[in-house]
Amino acid sequence: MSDDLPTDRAGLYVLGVLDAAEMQEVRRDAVRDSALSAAIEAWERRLTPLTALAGETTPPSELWDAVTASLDGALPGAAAPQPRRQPGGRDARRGPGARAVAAWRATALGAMAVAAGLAGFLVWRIQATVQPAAPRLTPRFAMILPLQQTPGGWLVEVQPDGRIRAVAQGNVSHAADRDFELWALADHATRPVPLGLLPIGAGSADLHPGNLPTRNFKLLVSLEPKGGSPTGLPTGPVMFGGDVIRPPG
Amino acid sequence: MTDIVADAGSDTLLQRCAGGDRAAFRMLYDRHAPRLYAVALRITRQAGPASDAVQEAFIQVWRNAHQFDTVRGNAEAWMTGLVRYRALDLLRRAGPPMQSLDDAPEAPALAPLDTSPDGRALRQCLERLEPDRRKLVVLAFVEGFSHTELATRLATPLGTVKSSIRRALASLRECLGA
Repeated sequence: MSDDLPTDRAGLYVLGVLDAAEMQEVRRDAVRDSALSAAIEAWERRLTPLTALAGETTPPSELWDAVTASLDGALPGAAAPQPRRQPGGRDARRGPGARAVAAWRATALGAMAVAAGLAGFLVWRIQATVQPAAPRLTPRFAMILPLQQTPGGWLVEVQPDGRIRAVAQGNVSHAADRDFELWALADHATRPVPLGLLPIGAGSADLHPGNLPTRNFKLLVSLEPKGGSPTGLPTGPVMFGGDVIRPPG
Repeated sequence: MTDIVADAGSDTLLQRCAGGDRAAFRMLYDRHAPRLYAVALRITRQAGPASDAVQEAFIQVWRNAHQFDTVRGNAEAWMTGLVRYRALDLLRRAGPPMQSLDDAPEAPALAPLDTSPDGRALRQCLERLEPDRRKLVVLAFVEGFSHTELATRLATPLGTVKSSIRRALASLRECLGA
């Protein structure tokens, strides 16, 4: 193209025509380049009126509950008996939060049923080839699968000494400024414990959490800011989950 | 509609959010969620990812409200950006939707822009563009089509799409100013 115009990266970014890699590049550069980030803001101001062309659609009623549940760090189980009583009306938010959690649980349980089926198949295959040295030292496994319409997942092996090996499956990915964080939610517990950050792409990672529940637990994965949740509880949406199972014998 | 007043209100609500005011956050949500959800739905074309995009955006609004610069910033543009970039991430990650190539999209009419002064100014500048370029800009912003997807859907060479968009952006910037 005999085009002497300079490339307006901010304009292209705000317009939304860049592919995933190009978008990430612009974001990365904008952190250091204040002229670029100012140009992005200017384009946002210019083009935002175009949102009127999409009209208005009432969001699902659970959406507000999901937003506030995330802000409270509430997760499945947060609606369990004995809500923490605090002056100042914190409890007032538990009602809708509980509904969101119930809806979440329904989705999660469906996906986990699938996960358990797959993991069972997987364990059967491992059992067929590997003879565990001693029954008490059998590792446990989990397939962590999407709870939402997201590709990918992880195969997780939990060693008897608490070490965790996670292998990314199906090219799981997230934005450059995010991380997937793994959590264990013990049966009947109301709060998950953080286990570490998960690999993406075709990567694998060894985690040494040292705080695995002694009871049976589920594994959950939330989308967090880079480096993981700053609060010690999930702050982003819970996007993946799976049951941990122990092979028979 | 008194858009300027409404928007000043949103800036104030954001300031109250920065101070931990949940009631202000709820008002901000009630005011903007229907528009933002429609924006996300148009881009992701599915209710699940659209909800995710709006949910994550509002979480960021609450967390980062204190960083919002009420002098320089525009609450609506800021929140719109949060939702759109997240929706675009989800769309790009999922890959283009399966739609037949004879599904040549039409750009929506620009009349809804007339509901705000900024919208009217944008409409005037858009209408100065060649129709093909105007269509590219509107489809890209509203539908979330990438360069490549625009080229495929409109059966136009990729190089032509890129150069048309580049020229359209230059014209718009000149027409609208800072």
